Amino acid sequence: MLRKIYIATLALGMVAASAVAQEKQLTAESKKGGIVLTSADKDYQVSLNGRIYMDGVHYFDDKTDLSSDASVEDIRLGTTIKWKQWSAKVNVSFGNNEVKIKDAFLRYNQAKNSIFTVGNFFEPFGIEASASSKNLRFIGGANTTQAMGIGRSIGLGYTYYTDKFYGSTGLFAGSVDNHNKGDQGFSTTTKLVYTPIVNDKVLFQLGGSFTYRMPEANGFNESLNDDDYNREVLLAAGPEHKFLNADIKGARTDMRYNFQSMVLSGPVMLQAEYTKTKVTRDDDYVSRLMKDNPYWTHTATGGYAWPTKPEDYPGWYGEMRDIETEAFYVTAGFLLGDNYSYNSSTAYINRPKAGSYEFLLRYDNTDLNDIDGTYFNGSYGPADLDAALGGAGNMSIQGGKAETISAAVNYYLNDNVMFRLNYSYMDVQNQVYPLDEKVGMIKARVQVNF
Amino acid sequence: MKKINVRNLLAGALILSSIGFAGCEDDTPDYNPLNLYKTYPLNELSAEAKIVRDYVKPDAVIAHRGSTFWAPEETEAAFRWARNMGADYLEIDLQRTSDGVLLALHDGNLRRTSNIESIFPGKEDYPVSVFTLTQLRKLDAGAWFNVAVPENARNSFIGQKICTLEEVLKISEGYRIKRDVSGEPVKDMTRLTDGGEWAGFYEFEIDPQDNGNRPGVYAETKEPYLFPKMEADLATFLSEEGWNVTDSPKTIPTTAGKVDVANTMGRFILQSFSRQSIVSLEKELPGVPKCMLLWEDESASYVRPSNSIESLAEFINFSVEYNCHIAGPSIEGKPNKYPDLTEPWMCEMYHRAGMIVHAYSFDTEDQLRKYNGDYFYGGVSRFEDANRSVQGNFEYDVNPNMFIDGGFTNLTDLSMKYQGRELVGTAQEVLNSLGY
Repeated sequence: MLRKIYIATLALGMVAASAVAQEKQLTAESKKGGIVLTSADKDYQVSLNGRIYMDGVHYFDDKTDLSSDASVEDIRLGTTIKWKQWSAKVNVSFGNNEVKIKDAFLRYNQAKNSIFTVGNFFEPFGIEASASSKNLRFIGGANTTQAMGIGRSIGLGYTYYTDKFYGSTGLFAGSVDNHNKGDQGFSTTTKLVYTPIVNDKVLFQLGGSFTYRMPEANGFNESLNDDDYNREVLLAAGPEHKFLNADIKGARTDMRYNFQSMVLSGPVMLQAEYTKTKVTRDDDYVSRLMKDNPYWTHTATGGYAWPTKPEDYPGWYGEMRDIETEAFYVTAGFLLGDNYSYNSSTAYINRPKAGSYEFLLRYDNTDLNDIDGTYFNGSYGPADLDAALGGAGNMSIQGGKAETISAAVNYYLNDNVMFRLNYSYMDVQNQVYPLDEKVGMIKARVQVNF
Repeated sequence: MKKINVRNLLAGALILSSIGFAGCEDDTPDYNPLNLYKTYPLNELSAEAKIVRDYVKPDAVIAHRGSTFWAPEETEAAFRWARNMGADYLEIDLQRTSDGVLLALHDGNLRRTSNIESIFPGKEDYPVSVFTLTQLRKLDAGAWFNVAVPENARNSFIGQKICTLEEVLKISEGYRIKRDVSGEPVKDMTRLTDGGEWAGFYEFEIDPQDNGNRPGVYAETKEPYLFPKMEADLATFLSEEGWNVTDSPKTIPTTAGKVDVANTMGRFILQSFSRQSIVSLEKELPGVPKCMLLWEDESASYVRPSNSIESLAEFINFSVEYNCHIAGPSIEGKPNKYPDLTEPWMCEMYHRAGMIVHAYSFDTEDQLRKYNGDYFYGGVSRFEDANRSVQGNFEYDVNPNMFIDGGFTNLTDLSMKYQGRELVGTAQEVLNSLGY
């Protein structure tokens, strides 16, 4: 299906381009990174866009084996059409032999800096999570972003920006990855960025984002009379998502806060983000009790009964309390051959000019643990050891914790090609992988985009 | 547009392909127990705990429920048979009556091993803790065996009673229940209830068929929620009976050349699957040998098959923390078809923590040979040749730490024969001599 959508849209773009060409009024213009075909009356513009990420990764694994490999991580093909104040974009990924819709939206520019968007596009959240991977400083986002960033969703958004202010908000109804098992979730996400200092020498930016979400359901369970069956929030990052992986089941709502800051001064860049996630959880204990029926057995003291009321479930298995996780990173960059420049329409950095080298260092601290119980043999019990030994449960989430130091070199060969080389060293703590402590990885990417 | 620099492209491709080649290198041994069992971090029993561990008789033959094959389990007949056969330990499952008497019974109710349907209809699934000892004495705990194991049926098993812990200790000391001319147990009317009624206890007498063996007792406690504070009751009872080795244990006369475990510091061993009970046992009976029983299942209470080495290590470390001197893993094989927690690498880990291994439960010679490692030694048992050597090139370190130190057996006779011990007769002959 995705292939058909993509092919139809691509064909539309080609037909539009061809129609313009047939009237012999076509002008072809080379813009940064690609060719744009424009009609004579300037009302229509068509561009084809795409990218190729050729990656290699080698893990210096500790005890758990990780799959070092070379891969074509992403192949992207797409078309953008603009006419008057409207534009539409379709972008489909074929990386790793999977077809996925990426950008697919219609956009209306009420004014140059006042934009409405409908379709599948980035929710405005933080710096890295709402930026295209081709513009990230490292190969992929920080663990903070991988774990708690959001990405694209289907929805309606509005963006307004000036030199000093950027605001974007939207209402979304889940992602295109929805498996149609149970009701889709929804979210509302807003990002506000203020840049009090913008001049030739220094730029200083502060911002915050907030999202309120209802996660997607994973199916129906008629016996529990529960349309919200097993809504789930998965926070995962790092190598093969092994050492940082929090699977929060029974989720009801998911709120995330992000604070961002950026400083640009000539060839120097500092960028930082802090993200906190709070997931509320619940279970349908009434239906469970109706299904189980109160249980009574005989003992010398007259018998004991369990369960007799809905509260008995959280009393024994552990309360489905709220789960909070947090993470942050700080990145420092230095450009050789160019200065950093700011793009107020994206509230992010422009691509450095061809021939530039970029050197980067990043510290990331991602903590996906929310533990208030005692751990033994793959499960949590209450903090009270005797109760834990007696088999009572606890609903702590152990997603792992990691401090990661990364270094990177980027070489911008031209407007279409860049080379990236990253090294990361993770100090991991995860009770599921008790023997793994230090994991190193070196990654390289040849990145082509047009 | 700037021209693509071919040299730079080539350099990039070279970096990528070298990473690809590096990725092919096998830099880390596979994460599996067979690569990690020797180095997986484990805690080790303290020197003091090892002294207690060494109370336990080496190469222990532990008579599982007395016998499950030759006589009705956990009855006087089974325990007398095991004693006279020559078992080192009489194994029992501890439960407690509603009037606080500790007794030996495996199941959570009396349906399988008694005629409760006839005596207390409608209460077949009630736990022992609902009944008084006097009520339980009305049950026949032997007749069921003649139906379940007809090839070993004996009329004299009919009327066997559920055994109290006191009776098990007395049998170990060379006593038996006193019976009248009609064969009925003689009630001990010196021990009465608060209401002045018989409390369910019998009189004892020196067993005329006792052949001098003095086995120890190896008692399993259940989940504490079933019998709250039973560990404290057990400690009190053992002290009263002179069986608590940390509290003025009594001298139990022994005979040279016979089993003498009941008169050693290893006379009573505690065992449990329940970690909660283990913690209580360590509190109530410190300095008494303890065994952490192990079962495999995908649950926090058992060794998880999905991550066996981590899970096993957690149980071992827990055992060390609470001074469990013995690991009690299950073995595979017919007829039980239990999961195998006694693989060589697992035994190596138990031993590395300073524990000894008492596996459960043995029914065949093949199991005895397998878990004693004979098949690595050309079929030679260590009881035949203490200096046996590995036969064949297994390309890994085969060593005595990979095998067991004793086992729970349903066939004491078979285990003794395997160890080359002198048998006083066949199982049937021993039962005959005991009057069954």
